[in-house]
Amino acid sequence: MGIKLTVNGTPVEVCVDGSTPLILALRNELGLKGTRFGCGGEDCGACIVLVDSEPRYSCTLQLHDVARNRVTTIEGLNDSLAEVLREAILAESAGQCGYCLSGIFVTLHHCLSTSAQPKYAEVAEALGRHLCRCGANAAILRAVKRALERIQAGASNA
Amino acid sequence: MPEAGSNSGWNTPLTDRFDLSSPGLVALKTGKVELGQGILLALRQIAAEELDLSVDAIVTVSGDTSASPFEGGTVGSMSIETSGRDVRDAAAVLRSELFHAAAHKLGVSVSEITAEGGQFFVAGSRSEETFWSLATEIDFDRPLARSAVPKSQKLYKTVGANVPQAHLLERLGGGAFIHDLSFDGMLHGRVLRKPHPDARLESVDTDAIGGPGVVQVVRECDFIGVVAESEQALATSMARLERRCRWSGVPNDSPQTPLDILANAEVTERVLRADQGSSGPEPVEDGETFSAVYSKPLIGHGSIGPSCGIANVSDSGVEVWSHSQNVFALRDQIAHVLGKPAQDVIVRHRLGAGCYGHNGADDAAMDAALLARAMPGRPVRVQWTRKDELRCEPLGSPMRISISARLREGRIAEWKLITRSGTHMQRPGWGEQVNLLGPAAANAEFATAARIDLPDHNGGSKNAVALYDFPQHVTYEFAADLPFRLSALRSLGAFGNVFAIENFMDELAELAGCDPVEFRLRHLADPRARRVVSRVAEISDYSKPCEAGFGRGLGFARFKNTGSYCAVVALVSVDETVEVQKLWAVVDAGLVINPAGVISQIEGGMLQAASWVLKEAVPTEGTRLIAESWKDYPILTFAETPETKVEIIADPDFPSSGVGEVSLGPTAGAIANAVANAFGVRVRELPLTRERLMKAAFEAE
Repeated sequence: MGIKLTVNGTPVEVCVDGSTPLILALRNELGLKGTRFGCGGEDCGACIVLVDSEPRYSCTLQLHDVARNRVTTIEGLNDSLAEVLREAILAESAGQCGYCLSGIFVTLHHCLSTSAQPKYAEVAEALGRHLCRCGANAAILRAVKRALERIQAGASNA
Repeated sequence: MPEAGSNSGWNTPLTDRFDLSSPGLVALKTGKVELGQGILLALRQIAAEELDLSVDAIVTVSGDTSASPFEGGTVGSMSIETSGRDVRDAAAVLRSELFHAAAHKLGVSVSEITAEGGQFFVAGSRSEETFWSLATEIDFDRPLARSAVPKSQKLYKTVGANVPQAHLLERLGGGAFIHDLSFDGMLHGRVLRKPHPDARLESVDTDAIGGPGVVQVVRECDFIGVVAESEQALATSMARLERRCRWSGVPNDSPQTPLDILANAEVTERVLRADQGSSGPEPVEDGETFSAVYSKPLIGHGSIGPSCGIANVSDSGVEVWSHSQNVFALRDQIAHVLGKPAQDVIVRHRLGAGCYGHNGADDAAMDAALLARAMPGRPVRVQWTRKDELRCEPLGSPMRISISARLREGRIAEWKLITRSGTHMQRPGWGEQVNLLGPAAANAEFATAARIDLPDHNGGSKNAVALYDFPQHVTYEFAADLPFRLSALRSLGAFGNVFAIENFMDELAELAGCDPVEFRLRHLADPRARRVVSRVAEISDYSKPCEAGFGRGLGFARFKNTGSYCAVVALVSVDETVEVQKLWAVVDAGLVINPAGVISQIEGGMLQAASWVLKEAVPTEGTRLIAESWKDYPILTFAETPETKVEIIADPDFPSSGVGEVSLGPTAGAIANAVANAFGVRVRELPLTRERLMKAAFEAE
């Protein structure tokens, strides 16, 4: 008997021990390698995924913690908001090695999709759970501003 | 089969550089590797420019010991300076060869031919021939010579353009990093690191380590590791192993800090410069002389991704995947340790997280090779833990810089600088030693690490000589035997030396009653240096007075005194905490390949330096490293990130120079000067923590 959960909208069953960290099940059992291991201790945010639409550290969550929950990884974020974020990242060269970027992308997507009128300060604060060592922080914050401008322009056009 | 990997990037046939076997694509072979700095995009832009191809038509074969030319490591901000030029010249040769082949085939003269997108045109009409149809007609085995004249810069369209860093989006998905590689039958392994370099493994009950999923416990002397079927089984068994190992020889705690140890270390002295009239002032407080001592602590690379390596050892040879900065040097050491000829070992570079110098990448690959040796034919993947990263990677040496100077009529009449440091170089193979943790634990033959630094004006003495014009006496005191594992960290000694020099320039300016910008310009004849200093002062409103609690400061350097120029201004506030509000930089890197790439590197260096200056010091107890997690080694957060503004002075009359390391020293100087201006008291010891500031203020009263 495996553990059942829903990942990126698809029900899956994973045949490993329930104490297995979620990140290992995602990467090694389900082949979803966009989620990155950074520290294993909730310090860097590289591993962040959405569990029932809330950002969670997949390195410390165990598989049985998320049975019956909906897990969304970066591979499952393909809507128009994700496209806005990708454009903003590219336009601002918002990243260097990119190792921290998957987790940051998930957090940003969450912040920008849950608020009707997301504020820059709130989004920037949400990045507090992430670390970037390349010093792309300032460029990532510029990308946040750019994405917010795009969203606001889109909202006023609607 | 070309002699790939055995030659430099230049004295090598064209086939070691280019492969046109896929129609529509030119494969550019390079020994340089992508570390997050965008080098491969820049090299593709250079090749695309010479060949009039789109950047997308250039693909790279990078850092593969079986296929790439050897070009040294991807180190020292040299990739654009040297490899960029070599790629440009080689692409010009390829273009010339193809044009001559086309002229011959089409029965016209070379001057009648043009090419766009690899398609040849004769007098403006499309011909039957392309680069790829003619690739078989040219001699790829003839050694390259700088025989073709590269394109005039006036015609540049791709070089100098902000070609988007599309690779960033690819890295959002899986598969981009070495950590994502997977092979049939792949096992997971890890080595239990010694609690201290001197520790010896007294006993371990290996039978008690086994459990579900454990395939093998590998022990050789003090080297002990586990190979398991899954990462989860590995983690469980490593926790068991840690509890069951008994170590001896771990020194008792001592109250000495790394800087205390450095201060008391035996050193060898080398005079780097002794100008006439610069025998050095005696430190006499006669109102005209002044002296100060600065320091920087032990600092880590702190890659966000843990070090990772994969190896497969079989009868037919050894195959290794690594994010090493120098796959050729790593290959040689793996061959040496495994007792195999170098040609039996292939090391292929794969992207890791940003490394900023010599981190645990090579160790992880060697760990994998040693564990894989026990599992012939099965690939073994090693991924370090965060604790291993914090405790076992090579670190940036502590440094202590003493400067004294004599002022005469508002100018520096004499300047004496003594910089003291451990080594900044212990890469694999350096000093004829392996210099890697796994072999050192496994075999006494490989236990000794190299104890020499890079040559003068590199390593700890990099940028110890100031670019300013005054009589200088500069000495390097090299401490060969510091009890820490030290190697290259971004900008090496330049960070500490420039930090000290730029602080001292501000201190002397104050003594001379002179504005710090004016004081620098007074001692700076080099027009490119003057331009970046003046310009950064201008764009940052440097001379505008600050509100109480705020301060501006400036720092400047030319990296290595031969590379790029960079001047930085910091605006800081000092209240409950020290906050960097904004950083401005002006950089002159000669001919710029990708401006967005340059800005990225300068800005990344500034923010990393801000982190070093404000927060970082590796926690120790005596000679033991004790950090468990990022909580014990905090780095700059998003909330602490200042706004940044980078301006490039693009001067194509000067050759390209590297930008990966130039901004760190100037940023350290700028922030420290700004803090001193805001706070009214100068702290000369990094990091500039609130506790240090309070202590300094208390002592100043």
